[in-house]
Amino acid sequence: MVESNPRRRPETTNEFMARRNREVAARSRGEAAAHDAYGTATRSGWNPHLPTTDDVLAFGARLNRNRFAVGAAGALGQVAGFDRGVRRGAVHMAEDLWDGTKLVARLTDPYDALRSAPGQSAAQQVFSAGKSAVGDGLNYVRRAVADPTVVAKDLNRAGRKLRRDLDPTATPTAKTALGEFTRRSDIAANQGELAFNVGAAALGAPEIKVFGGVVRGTKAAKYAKYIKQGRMPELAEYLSEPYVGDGAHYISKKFFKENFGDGPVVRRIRDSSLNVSIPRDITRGDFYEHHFRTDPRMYGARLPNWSNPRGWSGKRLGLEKFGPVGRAVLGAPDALQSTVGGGLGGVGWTIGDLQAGEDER
Amino acid sequence: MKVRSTALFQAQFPEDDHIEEDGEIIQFGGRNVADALAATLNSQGFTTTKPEHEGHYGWTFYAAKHKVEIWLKVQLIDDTENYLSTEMREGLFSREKRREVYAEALRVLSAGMKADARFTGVLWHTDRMPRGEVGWTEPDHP
Repeated sequence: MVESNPRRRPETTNEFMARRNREVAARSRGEAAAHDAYGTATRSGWNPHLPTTDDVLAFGARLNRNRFAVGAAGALGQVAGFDRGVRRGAVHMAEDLWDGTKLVARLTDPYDALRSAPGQSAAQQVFSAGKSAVGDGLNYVRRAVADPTVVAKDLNRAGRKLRRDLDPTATPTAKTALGEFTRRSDIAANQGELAFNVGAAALGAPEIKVFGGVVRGTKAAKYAKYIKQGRMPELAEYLSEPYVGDGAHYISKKFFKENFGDGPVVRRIRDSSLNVSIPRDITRGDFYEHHFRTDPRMYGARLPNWSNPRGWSGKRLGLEKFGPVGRAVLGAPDALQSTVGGGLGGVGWTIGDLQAGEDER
Repeated sequence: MKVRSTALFQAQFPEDDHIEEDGEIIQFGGRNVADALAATLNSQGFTTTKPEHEGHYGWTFYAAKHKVEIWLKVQLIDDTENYLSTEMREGLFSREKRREVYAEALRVLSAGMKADARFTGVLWHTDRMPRGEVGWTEPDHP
C-alpha cells in the first residue's frame, strides 16, 4: 500500500477527503508482514531510527536475524527492562501506601460506619474481603481433599511460571533481535520489580503492601467502589472486569490521520505502547475514569444493553478533567515514560492516582 | 466571531449500529447519528467522509467546503447525554475565512438538528465545557 506523504506537496482538500475515505475502507485489510519487526520495536520501547519504509524493510532483512544482533538486543532489553521494573515497583508501592493510609484513617474513624452507605464502612469492607478470601480458601481445601494431586499440580504450575517470569534461561532465546529484546526486557522488568519489593521488605514495607492489597488488589474492592457510585450489582461486576480495548491515545488518532495518513506503518506507531495508555491491571470502570481525565474530548461510553443506566458518564460522576500539564504527564503511556521520562512520568502517574483517590471520597 | 464547538444533545435513533456479542460491545452506537449529521452537511454543499468507528471514543468523520476541513466526532452515552465534538483543521492562511466556513458548518448542523425531531435538547458548549456551563441554543455569536 502506498502511503501519501503530505510533506512532498501540500495535500488538497479533495485529496485529503479522498484519502480519508480510502483509509477508512482499507482499515480492515491485513497489514504487511514486512512491518512486523518495526512494530515489535516500537511496542517494546526500542526506537531504531528508520525514517522510511525502505529502511524498515532493510532493517528487517539484515539485522533482525543476525545472531550477534540477537545477543546484543537481549543485553539491551535486560538494561531497559530492569529500570522499568524498578519504577513499576515504586509506583505500586506508592499506590499501596496511599490506599493503606486511607483505609487506616477510616478504620480509626469512629464515625466511618455512620457516614458510609450500608455495608460500605471500612471495617465491613475488610470483613467482606477477608470473608471472600476465607471462602476461596475453604473451596480450595475441599478440592484438595477430593483430589490431593491438585496442590502438587498448582505448585508445579506456579513454580514454572515464576521461573519463566524471572529466569532468562527458562525460555529459549528468540530467533530475532527484536523478539529477544522484548523477551529479555519483560523478564528484566519482572526482576526489577521483585528487586524493589525485596529492598522495600528489608525496610519494613510489607505492611504497606498488605494494607494496600486489602483495598486495591481485590476485585471485591473495585466492586465496592462501583456500588458506592450507585451502580447496580451486575453493572458493578461488569465495570470491575479488566479493561480490554484500544486504550487512550497520547497523541490523538486525529493528529496522525491528518499529518501522516492511516497506513500500516503509521498505525503501528500510533497504536504502539509508546502512544497508547492502558494502565496495568486496570478495570473497565477505572479505565473510563482515566480516559475521561486525560482526554478533553472523551465524555463517557455506552454500556451493554442490559445495563441501567445505559452509559458511563464522567460528568455525572462529578469527575474533573486534567489541565494541559496534567494530561501531558499523567496521560503518558507506561512505555513512553520508560523510554523518555520515566522518573517524571512515574511520579506523575502516582500523583494522578492519589488525586483520583481523593475525588472518590 | 466566536464559535461553540461542542453540542450536548438527546437522540432517538435506531440502535442497530450498537452491536454486542456474548455481552461484550463490539461496535459502539453512533453511526446512525453521524450519518444523519453528514447528510445534513451534504445537503448544504459540504462533502463528508464515511464515519469511522473508534471504539468507546465514538464515530468520527470529516466535512469540507471551500478547502476548509472540519473534524467531527459523535459520542453516544445514553438517551439523555450525547456529544458532538467539532474542530477546524488548521491551515496556514486566512484563518478568518476558515472560521467563517467552520461557523457555517456549525449553523448548518444546528439548524438540521432543530429540524430533525430525533434530536432534542441541543445545547452548544465551548471547547472545554467547564463545569457549570449551561450551554447555548446557537453555536456561534459575534
